[in-house]
Amino acid sequence: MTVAPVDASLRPQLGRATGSLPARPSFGRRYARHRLGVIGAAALVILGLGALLAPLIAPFPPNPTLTAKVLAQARQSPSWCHLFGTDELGRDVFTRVLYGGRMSLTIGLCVALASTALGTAVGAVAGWFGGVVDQLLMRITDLLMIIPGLAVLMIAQKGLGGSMTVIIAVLSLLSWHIIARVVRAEFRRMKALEFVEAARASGARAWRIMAFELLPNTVGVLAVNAALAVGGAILGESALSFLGFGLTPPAASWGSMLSQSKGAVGTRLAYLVYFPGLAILLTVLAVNFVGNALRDAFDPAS
Amino acid sequence: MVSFVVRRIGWSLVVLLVASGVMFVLVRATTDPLSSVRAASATGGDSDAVASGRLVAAEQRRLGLDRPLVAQYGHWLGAFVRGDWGQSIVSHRSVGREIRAKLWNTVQLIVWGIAFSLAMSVIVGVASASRQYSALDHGLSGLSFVALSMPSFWFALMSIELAVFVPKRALHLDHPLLYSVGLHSATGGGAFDYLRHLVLPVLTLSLPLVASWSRYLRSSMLDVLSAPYIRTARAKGVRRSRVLRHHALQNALIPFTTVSAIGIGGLFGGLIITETIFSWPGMGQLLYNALLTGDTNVLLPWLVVAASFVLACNLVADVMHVVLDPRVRL
Repeated sequence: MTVAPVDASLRPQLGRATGSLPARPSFGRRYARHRLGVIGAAALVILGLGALLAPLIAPFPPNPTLTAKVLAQARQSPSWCHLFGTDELGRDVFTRVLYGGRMSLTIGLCVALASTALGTAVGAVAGWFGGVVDQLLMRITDLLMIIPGLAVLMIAQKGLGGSMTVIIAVLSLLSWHIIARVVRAEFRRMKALEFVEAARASGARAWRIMAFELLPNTVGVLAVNAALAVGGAILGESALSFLGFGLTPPAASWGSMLSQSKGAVGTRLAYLVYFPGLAILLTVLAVNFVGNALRDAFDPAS
Repeated sequence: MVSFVVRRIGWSLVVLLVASGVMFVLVRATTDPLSSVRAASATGGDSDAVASGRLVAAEQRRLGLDRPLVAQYGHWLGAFVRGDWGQSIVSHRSVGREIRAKLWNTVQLIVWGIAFSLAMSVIVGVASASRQYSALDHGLSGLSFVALSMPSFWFALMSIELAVFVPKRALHLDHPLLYSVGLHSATGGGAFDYLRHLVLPVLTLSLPLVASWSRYLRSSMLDVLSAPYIRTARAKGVRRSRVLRHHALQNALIPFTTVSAIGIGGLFGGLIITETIFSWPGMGQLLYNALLTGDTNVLLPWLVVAASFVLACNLVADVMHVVLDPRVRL
């Protein structure tokens, strides 16, 4: 039997004017009203471009061979030649912050994507089917809440090594449950609504309703939570790297740069601590602003 | 009520049991308890390969590592429940004693941190809710945004730089105003010395808590403040400050207890960072050192203690909610 397409008018309309009500401004307009959200998005574009184009922008190589000429440049305070100064080995900190951004941002984005995908799948199944499946999956999320995440990350990195894949995989495995709970709640709420009943009456199978009716309606919550997950992952990775359980050197994220220069606190080289930390702060702040603006823009009540 | 608490405790024990199983598998999968034996026998050279292989196998049998994983877990669990938490590979002391020695220092940090965070978030939350959309409210919510986006280890490093070293240099002091290492000076020095050691670690630990709790309390205060009974209280002439403190705050604190207890449960991650930076001889530092020295026997008991702490916090949250909110029916 063929599945009749569900009449478009049965779907809840996102941001479409109905009847005599004044037209609702478009999603872009609603987002643009959020000034901090726009600033955050702009900052993210700049940071992202900086990381992406690091080989073109960076004035020096990130890991130069340590010749006498490079070593002679060591321990220079920030100047026009070395914007963020140089470290103990004469490496340019500005260059390394640009390259470190590649690591931190890649990890943040990959973890957000992976944990959103996993969390959505689990949350959707739990919310749609309910019953024993739901109970089982939710008890697993309970377990993730009580297991101390940072400790598990440290143990896993120690055992499995500090490659990018391991860190992304373990961070994702420890953070999907937040999104799973949100998606589950959404699916449970929408399961009882008329448009789902209509789809079911027209013969749509469960997976089809989940993928084409319910999932598009969770885009808002997913976007918000994925944005916040990027920030959480960047903070998590930086903490891990700072403790020395991050990427294997010479690969350097902002967290591992801080780990290497923590001895500089209280010395003339304290500037080594300022810039990677500021980079993390700015990135996470921008991501959180974007997340907040998305929440307001998607929320039909606002 | 009693049966609710008993049921909740029973359920927590079940969760803890399952969690310990998961953590057992995790630790077994990522660490090799025989690594030191292997390393020692590997240096023997090729001629000893058979002998060293036999040594590893013997050691495997002695420790029961050749048995199925479930049997190993059962054996470990039995010993753990009886109080035998194994022996540290590095210090050769009992892991239970090591953890108990460190636990007290960590408890000090947690108690001061929670007390400070609660006080600060009530002050900040009430101040911003009572003047919604004022410059103060905007300023405080901006600050909490920054605090939530800041890696706490970076805050710790910057606070050491700005509160320990900069004043010491600027004022040519012999001793810094605040200390950044340990709990006490080597020479001793009483309560004031203790306080000077405590300030920065407690600030580092509290920063994310104050930021998120005060936001939560603000919105929960605003919910309560829009309720009709608040208007009634004001209309019959109760002073604004009394309404805020008595009518609004007391009710806003009910959902807040749940949130704060869960936040306290998440404190162990922050403890690892704080204790490592400030050389605070507690649980966090114990784990860090154990991982650096390859002391794998410490890991599992540590994880179980941390998970129990989180579970206990969640339990307290549930019970408090029932006690404080008479509308919750069991």
